[in-house]
Amino acid sequence: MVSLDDQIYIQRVLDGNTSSFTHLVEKYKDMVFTVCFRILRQREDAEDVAQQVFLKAFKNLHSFEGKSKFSTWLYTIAYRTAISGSQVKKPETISDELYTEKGPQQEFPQIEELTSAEQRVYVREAIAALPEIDGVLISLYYLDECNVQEIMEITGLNESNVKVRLHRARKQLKVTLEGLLKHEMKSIL
Amino acid sequence: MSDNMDKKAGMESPSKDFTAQLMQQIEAEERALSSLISNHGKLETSDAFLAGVMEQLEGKSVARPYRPVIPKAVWAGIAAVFTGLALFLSFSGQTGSDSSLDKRYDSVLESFNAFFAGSGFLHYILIPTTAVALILLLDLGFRKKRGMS
Repeated sequence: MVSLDDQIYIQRVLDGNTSSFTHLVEKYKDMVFTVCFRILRQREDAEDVAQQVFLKAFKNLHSFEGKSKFSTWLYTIAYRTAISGSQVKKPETISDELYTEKGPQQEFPQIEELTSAEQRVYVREAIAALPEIDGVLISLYYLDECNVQEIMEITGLNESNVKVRLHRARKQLKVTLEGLLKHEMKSIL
Repeated sequence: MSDNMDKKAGMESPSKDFTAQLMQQIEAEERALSSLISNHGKLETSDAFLAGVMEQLEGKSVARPYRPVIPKAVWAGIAAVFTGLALFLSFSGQTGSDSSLDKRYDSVLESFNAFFAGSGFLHYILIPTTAVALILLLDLGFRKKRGMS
C-alpha cells in the first residue's frame, strides 16, 4: 500500500537518519499546508499547524503500520490537528443551511484575457467560499486524487456524507466558476 | 391500453445522439473542473517551511514505543513449561483416588524432592540460575536485534 519510495525514506528515519525526513516533508508539505489552510483560512496559522503536523508525524512514525498510504496517514494528522486548532466544529451530519445556492460571485472579465495567475485567484476564491470541510474534501479529491474510502479515513466522515458533500461542493464550484469552466471546456471539447 | 398509446403519441423524441451529447457535456464539465482545481487549487508553503521543520527536528529522534524485551510468547512458553512440569509431577505422585488434598500436596513435595535429590542441593541453585541466565541472554539478543542500548 505504501509507495516503495516513501517506505525507503520512512525506514531510514526509523533507523535514526533524521535528514531522510526532508524528502517526506518536501513531497507532502504543499498538500498538508493546503489541508490546514482550507480549515484555518489564515496563512500563518496554517503554516504553523502544518509544521506541527510534520513534527507529530515524525514523533509517531513508528506507529505508521503501512496499512494505508503514507499520505492518507499524514493528511489524517493534518486534518485532525487543524480541526482541533480551529473553531470549526467536527461535522457529524450535513446541514442544508451550510449551502446557499449562490450565483456567480462576480462577472468574469474577458475570460480569454485572464492570465494563469488571475485564474488561480478565481479558483482559490471559489474553493474558499465553500464550507471549510468541503474545501478539504474537494482538495483531497482533485489535488491528491484521493478516493472516497481514503477521504473517509482522513476525515472520519461516513461514505454518504463524503459523497453528498463532494457532490454539493462540485455543484457550487460549477456555479461559481461558470465562466472559467466554459472557457476550459472549449479547450477540452 | 389506449391511455398508453395516447401517452406515447404525445411524447416527443430527442435526437438520437441526445444521451451521448449530454454525457459528453457532463464529462467535459467534470474534466474542466478537475483541470482548473488541480492546476490552480494547490497552495504552497513559504520557502522557509522545510528549513523550519527540520530545525525543530534537529537532535530529536523518532519516539520508540515501550515494548517488553521478552515477548509475551516467550513468557507464555516458560509458564506452560512450569505448569506442565507441576501437573506432571502432581499426577505422577498421586497414589489413589481417595488421597486428600494434604496427601496430594505431600506427594507433590516428595516428587519435587525426588526430582532434585538425585543430583543434590546444587540443583536448587543451578537450575534457577541457569534459567535466569538464559532469560538474560534472550534479553540481550532481542536488545541487539532492535538496536536498543
